[in-house]
Amino acid sequence: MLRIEDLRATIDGREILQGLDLEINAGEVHAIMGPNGAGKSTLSSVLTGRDGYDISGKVTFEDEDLLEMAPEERAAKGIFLAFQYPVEIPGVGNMYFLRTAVNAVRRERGEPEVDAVTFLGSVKQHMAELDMDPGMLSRSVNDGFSGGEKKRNEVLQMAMLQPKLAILDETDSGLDIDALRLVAGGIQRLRSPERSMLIITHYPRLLEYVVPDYVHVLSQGRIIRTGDASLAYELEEEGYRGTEASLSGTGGGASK
Amino acid sequence: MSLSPATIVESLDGHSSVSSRNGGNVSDSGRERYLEWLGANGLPTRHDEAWKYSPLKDLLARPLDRIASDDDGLAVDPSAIEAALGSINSVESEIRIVLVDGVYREDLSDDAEADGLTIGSVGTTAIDLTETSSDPSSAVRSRVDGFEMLNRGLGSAGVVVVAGDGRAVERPVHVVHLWSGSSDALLVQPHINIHVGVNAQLSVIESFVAAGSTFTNALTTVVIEADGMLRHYKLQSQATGSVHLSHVAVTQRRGSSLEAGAFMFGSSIGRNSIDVIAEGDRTSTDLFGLYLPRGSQHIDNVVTVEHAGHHGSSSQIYKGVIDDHARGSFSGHIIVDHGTVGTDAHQSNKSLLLDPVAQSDSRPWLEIFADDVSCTHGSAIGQLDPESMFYLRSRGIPLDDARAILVGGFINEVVDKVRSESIRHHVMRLVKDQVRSRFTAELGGEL
Repeated sequence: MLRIEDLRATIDGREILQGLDLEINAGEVHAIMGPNGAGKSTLSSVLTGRDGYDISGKVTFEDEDLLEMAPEERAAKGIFLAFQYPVEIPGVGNMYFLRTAVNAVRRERGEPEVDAVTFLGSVKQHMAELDMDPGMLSRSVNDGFSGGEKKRNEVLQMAMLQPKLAILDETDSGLDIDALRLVAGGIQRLRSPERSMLIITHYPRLLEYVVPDYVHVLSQGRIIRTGDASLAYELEEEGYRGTEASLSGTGGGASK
Repeated sequence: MSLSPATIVESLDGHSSVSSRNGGNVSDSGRERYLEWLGANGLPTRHDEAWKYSPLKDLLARPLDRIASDDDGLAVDPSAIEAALGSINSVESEIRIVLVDGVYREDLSDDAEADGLTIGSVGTTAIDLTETSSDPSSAVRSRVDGFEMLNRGLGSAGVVVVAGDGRAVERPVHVVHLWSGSSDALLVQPHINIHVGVNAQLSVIESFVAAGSTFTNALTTVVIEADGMLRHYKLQSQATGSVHLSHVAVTQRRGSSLEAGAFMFGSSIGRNSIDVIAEGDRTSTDLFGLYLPRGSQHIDNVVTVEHAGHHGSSSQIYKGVIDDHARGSFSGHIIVDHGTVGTDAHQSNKSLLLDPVAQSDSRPWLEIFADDVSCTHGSAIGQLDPESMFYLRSRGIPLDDARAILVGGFINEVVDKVRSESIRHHVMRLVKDQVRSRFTAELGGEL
């Protein structure tokens, strides 16, 4: 589904991604862990088309060149990014935003727009599952939302947009235990044989709820180690430094 | 000599030739007074602070075919303006007042007697405000300029709208300013005279929809008596190629409140000005505006609030969205008179530049002559937030729609200030049309 080959990304003269390779197949859940500054968020930005990077290498999504597409085209193809820092947009109603997004994607896919009643029913169901106050629909997008509310709003958007590839950028950070459980439950419910996920996280907590098929360690812009879910706990014990040290001198990134 | 605002005023040296053309309805002595003032002081110059940002050279030399006369407006057959009339969206349950070339057309307007309103031309027997001390048209204040005097001296007789003491008029009055099309470059000078009685309530919407290359120089004079309340909204969507100057002069008496919003969409050159004297104590003044110049449009907003009484509160919230090589400006003047106490005055101007060559000017101007005051002002000029754009696009929303949504969000703060729900809906519809026509049409080709 997603194939990344020798991906390099430079911003302000600094090469953040330094030859990253990764392949994600349909239905797989991959976790990416790594120290601050390793390039985790840059990877999510480059995959979703944020401006400002000089990029080389190759990224295909369902055999199409992803790097050529505008962010909205990528969304229409089925890529979704849950933002690490969801953006506050005063004056734009959350409900209006959600419906515009859902219909834009449907239109791009040649599907009919969803009617107001069906849409509302669907939103309310997802909101109930995430324990969100329906009143948040009439508020401005993320405006004045707490950290936990913002993250839940991201998962709500993901549930409504039903992406093929969901990239979750530190969706678990800043959440208390109850909120983490709700958010993780929302993510887990979206797991399906057709849907892939790329979970960027610092902690194994989220991965207890959403158990990944693969865990990768990203360091200095490339994947230096890949393992199964148990790698997350190993990292917790050894720290990234230990992993980096044990691999130093091997000169190679292991990746799937 | 070709006709222009400048040449009209120059000819006033021997002014009898022009001053008599429109007389009859307003006392000639009044007209004489204004024309004398105009002859002596002339039209504004670039040294006038209140006209600092306006393209005065273009305004003064603007070629005119002629000055609209009362006969013009009255002579127009209703069928000739049927299309224009039909194109005006009405506000829910409105009382419509139609002006053609600045002249009140009773035959095209609604009757409002049952609503507790008196409406009529100045000088008709039904309304004789000149007999009372509160004649708003006679209340010429110290801050006047040549364009106001041009209106008073040579403009239309005007229409008077009076809400009697204690009358809470529920239906909104909708004043529609139409253009006859009898002459392309016509100088049209309507004068609306609003009087809100003691403890009375009134809402007035003025829609300006002139086409052609009309030069509108409109004047609205307002007196709000003690504990009265007025909501006044100006909706300007004149054709590109036209000029729109409109001035609102308000006197607020004790305990009165004013909510006034100006939405400036059309015209090549537009200037929205309001000057409020909060004369009585404990007045409330809530002013706001939105301007959306694009292409080569130039839209100015000049706002003055003078607190002459104690414990007055006022706010000014103006927002501009400026595209292409257009220009927009805001000058906000707050005056707190010597000897007053407890004034609470706030001002904010924000503008969004959508193009590298778009230009925005913002000038707060505070003159505080009292100690016990709370005054704030702020202005910000920026561009669409790239992170917000990316957020929307990452959800599948195309570039042009994302821009329209963010501009819409920026604008909403102003539209939401319209407290009456039915009027807010009306304004919202106009704003949405504007935003839609601007962004999807403009960017559609690029995608």
